[in-house]
Amino acid sequence: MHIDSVRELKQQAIATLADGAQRRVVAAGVAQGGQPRRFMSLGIAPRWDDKGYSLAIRLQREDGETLAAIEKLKNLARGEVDIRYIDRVKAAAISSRFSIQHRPLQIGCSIGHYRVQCGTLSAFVRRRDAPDGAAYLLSNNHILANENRSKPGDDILQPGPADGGKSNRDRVAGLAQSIQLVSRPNVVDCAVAEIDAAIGFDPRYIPDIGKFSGAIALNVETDLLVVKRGAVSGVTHGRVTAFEVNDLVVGYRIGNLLFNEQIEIEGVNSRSFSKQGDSGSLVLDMDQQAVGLVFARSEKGGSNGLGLTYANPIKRVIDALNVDLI
Amino acid sequence: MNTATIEEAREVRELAKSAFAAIPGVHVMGVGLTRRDGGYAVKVNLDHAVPPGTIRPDMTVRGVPVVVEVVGAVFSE
Repeated sequence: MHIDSVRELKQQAIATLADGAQRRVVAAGVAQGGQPRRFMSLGIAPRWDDKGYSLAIRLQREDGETLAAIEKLKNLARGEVDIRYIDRVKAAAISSRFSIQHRPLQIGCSIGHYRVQCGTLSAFVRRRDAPDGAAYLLSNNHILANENRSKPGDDILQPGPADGGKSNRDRVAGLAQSIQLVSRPNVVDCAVAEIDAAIGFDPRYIPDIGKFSGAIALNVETDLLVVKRGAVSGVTHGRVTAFEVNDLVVGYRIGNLLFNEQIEIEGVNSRSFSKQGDSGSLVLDMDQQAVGLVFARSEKGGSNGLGLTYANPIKRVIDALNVDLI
Repeated sequence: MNTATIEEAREVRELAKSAFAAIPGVHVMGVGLTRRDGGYAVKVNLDHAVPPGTIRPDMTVRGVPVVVEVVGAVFSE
């Protein structure tokens, strides 16, 4: 859309949401009346393909009231929306002990390319063709390689930029390899960065979970109980609800991409399994074996209604990168 | 009792997807495998609910149960 059209649309959206049950949402988003509880903001965002603009919806909460508002806005904008979960997550990240500086590096801490907000350090790996060589840290392409928009050696920061990481102070690794995100169906969203010589790391201890076995779970089935430690939500437990999920449509800043063979997980204990900033989290089974690499989440679904988390099968991740877990 | 095997569920996955993709205005957000009543099933994720009466709640494809869930949009985290 032309920017003037989006500006007009934004005003219509505010007016629409100002009616009836959506009043509190609008109060939050545009400071209209009452006591603002910020959980939705409206704005204008450039489209990922640089062909005009779309209505930007920034969410800080994910309950039924917010979802109802999103549906209204989607209809109003005829789908030309750019939805992101922000702010509340960022606040959680800043206050989270998982987002502070960790030396030695740990599984589950905040990490990110210097131009990316932040994600989670998944695990430590070595190249199969150099098993005694350098160590690498593992996370997503969209966390370490900025969705294909990076170059080898780029600064990887711990904590990630959204958690206060700075290139001149918090560099821990240089981007080494990423599996390109492509328009045909993907299976993995992953990358590795070579850890700087002066930076120590602990490849096995996961705070609040225990010792990672270093092994890979061979069978991933429905109802498998899993756990992860993410930089934002910390330790959460979940249950596999589906596997071999194909034709999964995932929104990225570079556009919608398809994924095949994915693992679907719901949170238990009235919690979502993951939140924005948990991408890269290593999913483990109850034997502390690696199951998957968190990379995406749905806005709805799951028996608690808090959304579903999607993870790449870890075997496919390490095979694609030709590395082994340490 | 559901006796569908994982191979049977894999075989009908595309058929299940096509059935939902043919419904006007409905977008399939992913199709996976899951378990129901002791056997395997196909799970179809949608961006929003289908109109009432469009599908049977006990829908099967060649004897394999089809589980439908509205998940909305999916985003990288």
